[in-house]
Amino acid sequence: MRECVIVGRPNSGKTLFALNFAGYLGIKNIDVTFKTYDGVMNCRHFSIEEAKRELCGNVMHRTCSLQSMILNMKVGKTTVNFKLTDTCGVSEQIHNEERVRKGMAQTISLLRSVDFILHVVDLSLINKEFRNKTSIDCELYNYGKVSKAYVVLGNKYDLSSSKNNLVHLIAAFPKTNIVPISALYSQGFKEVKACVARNI
Amino acid sequence: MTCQWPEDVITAVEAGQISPLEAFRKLREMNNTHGNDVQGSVEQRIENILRELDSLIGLNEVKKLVREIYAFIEIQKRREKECLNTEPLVLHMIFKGNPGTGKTTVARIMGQIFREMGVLSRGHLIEVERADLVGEYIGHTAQKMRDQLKKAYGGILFIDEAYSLARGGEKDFGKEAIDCMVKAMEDHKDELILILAGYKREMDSFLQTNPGLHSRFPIHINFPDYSKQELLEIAELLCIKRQYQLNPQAKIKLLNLLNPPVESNDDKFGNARTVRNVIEKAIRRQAVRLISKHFTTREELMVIEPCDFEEVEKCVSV
Repeated sequence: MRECVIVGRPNSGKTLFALNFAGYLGIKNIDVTFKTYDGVMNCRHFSIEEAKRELCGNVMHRTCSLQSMILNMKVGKTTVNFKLTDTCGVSEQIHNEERVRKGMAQTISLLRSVDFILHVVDLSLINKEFRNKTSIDCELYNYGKVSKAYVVLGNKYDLSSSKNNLVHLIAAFPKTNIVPISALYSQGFKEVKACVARNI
Repeated sequence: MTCQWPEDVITAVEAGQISPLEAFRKLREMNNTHGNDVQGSVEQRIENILRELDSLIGLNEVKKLVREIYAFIEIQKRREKECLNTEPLVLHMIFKGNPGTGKTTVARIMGQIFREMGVLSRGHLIEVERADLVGEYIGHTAQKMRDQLKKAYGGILFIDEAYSLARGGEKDFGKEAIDCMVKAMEDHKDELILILAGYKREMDSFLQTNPGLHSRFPIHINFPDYSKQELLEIAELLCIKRQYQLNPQAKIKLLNLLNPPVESNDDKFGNARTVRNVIEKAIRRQAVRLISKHFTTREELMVIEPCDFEEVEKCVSV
């Protein structure tokens, strides 16, 4: 089974995207498998709404472990199962909390072995200078563009401030496919679904 | 903080010794250096395989041609990188030569070279003959041929004594096998290299039976018979590999035994294979000679004497 991993900086909307995307694919209840850095795994059954209430939030580093769910999608005449894994957000600096550092290390480690990388970028943080700055998004882009399957999701496109920022993001990341989305309102998911279908 | 492996980088992030930003840079550097290492080692591996080919006795023309093919593929790859027009890589071959002249050995080495160069995904050699390809009833042949081709995809299909496919006349199923083979050569030219091998005379008449065959095989390699001196060198090499020695008298005896046909038209002469059989027989004769002795020195156990060749004339004549 192919594994798609969602990466990005903290609070860019990775978990919300994962859950709403699962909902977009027609899934009402999901089994989320949590895997901590120490290898401890547990599985919980949620409805999409419950999962959003419990796993999403405005606090930084809400997700500190790998949260995987098995989803399926119709590709041609067949239904293909794939694993969608949400990860701990990666920031530029060394974090003072050990559990967050371990979560980030887990994300970086997973990136090396997955089949498809979905890189969520917060469009509201992009500006003209973004191209010249060193940020974790640039590093993720540099790492992802050489891998076989990589796509950038410009999240929070619904915000009025983000509309113009898409141009700056395209200028900064010229060698990859960028899909503007709104994880909150499930916008742009049709294109994401097409991208995922091509890579699973 | 020095990190040699990606795992070290991950551990350093976890311990708070480096930032994730730095971790990504280090991982990228590692990927680049390891990528170069792989490139370097590929060239080295090809060089090792070519060295293995060079270590074969004689076959100078064949060695030159294999290096030519290697250079051709490499340059085509470089041209492709520079967006220049490239020749299609059709590498189907015909090997002509008497038995025991190294056709199968060279085919195996070529498979390895092509695998290392990325021309073939697996580079294995499937060795077949008429009986593996030609069926017993109508429609059976195509099925058998397809099965063998399926096994060979990603590697080399080596058809020994290929001329026998066209030998049975009009109603023979061999013709069906040839048609199926020709189709597969075109449809799967990127996944398969086909090598037809056989005696020179028979192969030449075989190629004339089907007008499309000759042009479909761009590479023709002749495997000449070994000279007496080359056969002796092969014998010495075989002995060294088995930790035996030929003493000077034994060498003279062996030279007298080996009488390669002057005009290369004696198909029954087995060339290097005959030499191998002669040596193996001599080794067995030496064992019989020594078994009656209670004490044998290290030297005695290694040396093959002229008397060990006495009964091996039969080997040469077969």
